[in-house]
Amino acid sequence: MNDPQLTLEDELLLQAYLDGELSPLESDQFAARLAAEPTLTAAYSQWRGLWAEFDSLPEPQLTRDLSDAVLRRLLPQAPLIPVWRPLLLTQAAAAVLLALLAWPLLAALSPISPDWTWPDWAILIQSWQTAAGLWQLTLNRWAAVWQSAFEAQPLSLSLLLPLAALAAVMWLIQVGYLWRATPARR
Amino acid sequence: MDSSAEQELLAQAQRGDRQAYGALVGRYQQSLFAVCYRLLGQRQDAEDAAQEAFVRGFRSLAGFDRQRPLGPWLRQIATNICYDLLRERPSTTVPLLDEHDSFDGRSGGWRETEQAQIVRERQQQLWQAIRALPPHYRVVIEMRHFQELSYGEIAERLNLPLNTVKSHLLRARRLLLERLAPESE
Repeated sequence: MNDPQLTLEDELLLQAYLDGELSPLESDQFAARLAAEPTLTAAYSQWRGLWAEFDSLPEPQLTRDLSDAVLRRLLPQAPLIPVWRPLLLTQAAAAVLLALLAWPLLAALSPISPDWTWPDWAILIQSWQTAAGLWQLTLNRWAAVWQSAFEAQPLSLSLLLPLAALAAVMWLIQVGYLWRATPARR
Repeated sequence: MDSSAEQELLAQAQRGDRQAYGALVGRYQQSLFAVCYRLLGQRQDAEDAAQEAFVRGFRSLAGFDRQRPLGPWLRQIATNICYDLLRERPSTTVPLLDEHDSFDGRSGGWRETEQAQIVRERQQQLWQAIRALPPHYRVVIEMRHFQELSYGEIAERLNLPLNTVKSHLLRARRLLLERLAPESE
């Protein structure tokens, strides 16, 4: 209790004395004051009782093992990066598949060149063997396809719509995968 | 578990071995629970906070200096968690001790002597008085009396000036003495 006869400084000293926070010299000096000053002695007795009560308190006992619960919480949760990795791989595979399917199809359906026959595998194989040739050929073909698309819109729409539908289905599959793979957060 | 065995478990846990960490949890769960229970005053809350302390400890374990003792470090994490919880939910209500809150399993029952009952009632009064303290007083009492930290260590861990720690301790103890006084007279 706040003893009106004790100064704040004495209270702090008494507290530090009981807490063992005084240096040996300070502690000896305070002990001498305790022996000489009845007010300080009475306060000391009261405060010392509180310290003793703290020391007598039993420790709260845990009644169940927390290890399992902690270890469950430490299990690795599916992080976001591995979720995106298969998504990107799927997208890349879909893009390659789409390109491989669409390129000869488009080339065949488009009035590109009179001497073009479908499928001209010889040209394809040759172009696949030579990257530069492939790119050149691909670019030329795509340029011709787009040119024909502008000239014959119904034909190009009938071609592009199924491809768009295929892309949409693939996208939905990926979203479904992402939905399932993303861990629920509490 | 001796010190070298604990060091080995700690090294394994720092490499991500959860089973090794589980053994350390087994060793320190009682002391962390005690810290949390004294601060929060409710068994379920204390168990949740202790679990959270172990989880945070595992996540920070890679940067832990193995030359330091693990127990005080974990107890500090637990103390911080409980202190944050107390500040987030300031409440003037004091949880009551129920029969499951007998700390040592010896309380209650017809065999209890009158003297033991008096001691137990006195201990419950002190618990109630501690739990009625504001969070910033309760935490310094916990750190000083139960974790036996020095003023300097408390100041460092709570990021408070040394004089503020002394002041908080003094005011907390005055409050406790006031609340316990009628029964002691």
